[in-house]
Amino acid sequence: MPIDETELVASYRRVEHPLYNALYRMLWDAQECQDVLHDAYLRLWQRKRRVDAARIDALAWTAALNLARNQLRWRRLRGWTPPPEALDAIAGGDDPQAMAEHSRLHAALQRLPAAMLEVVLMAEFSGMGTREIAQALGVPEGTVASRKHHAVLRLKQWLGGH
Amino acid sequence: MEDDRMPTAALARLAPPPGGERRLREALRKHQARGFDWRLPLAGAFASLCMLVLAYAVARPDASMDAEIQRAVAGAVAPIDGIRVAGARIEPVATRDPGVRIYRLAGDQRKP
Repeated sequence: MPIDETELVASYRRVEHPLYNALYRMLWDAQECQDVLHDAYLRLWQRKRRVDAARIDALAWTAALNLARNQLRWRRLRGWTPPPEALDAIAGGDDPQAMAEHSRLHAALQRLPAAMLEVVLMAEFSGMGTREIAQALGVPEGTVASRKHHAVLRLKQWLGGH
Repeated sequence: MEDDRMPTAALARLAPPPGGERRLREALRKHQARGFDWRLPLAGAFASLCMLVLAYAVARPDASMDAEIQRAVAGAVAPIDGIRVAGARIEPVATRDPGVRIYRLAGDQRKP
């Protein structure tokens, strides 16, 4: 059954915050994250006749992550690196210790391979279970579990067992 | 037991830039108002039609041209200044190219 505008906007309200948070840790640019979010929802709207209302949130994640992945590919070709202010802006306010911890965490996230980063961010922000994440990414559940497990191990190792 | 807590739990929860929903609604409205753009399909259809007409005009055998050539050849064997070509027939020769026509003047086999 096709979706209508009310359902699309309702999904946007549910997904905007978590998806924005995940996208920001991939793209490190607020405006670009919002553009990707909007493009993802416009794509869903263009395919509204084929979009299942029950899966609209997961499809928005899928579309947005695909767009972010394309964006990252372009950046890699241009040799782009995130500006320091992109990390400092969210590094924990005035508390120097919190700022240092956030900076280390962000640096560790940037070292993760893209496939692991996506799984970690979805697990952290989307509220989806392993099965839903697997469906959204189009990979088997075991792959999601494995990527998440290895990503957590690496992060803990890089962060010194914190 | 292994500690499977996510180190990312410490990540700050960021607020997206304000006005996102309004921007999305505007984009949806623009998208709906634009509707289906017929210009490109129409231009494509017109171009196809032109190509079809052109191809048909070029490939079609021209009957009037055939008749004209036949008349010219017949005129060539007609008596000129008292000289008459007698006992000749015009025979079309088959060619692969429809644009090329070849005719042969054949002598009358009945006469020696």
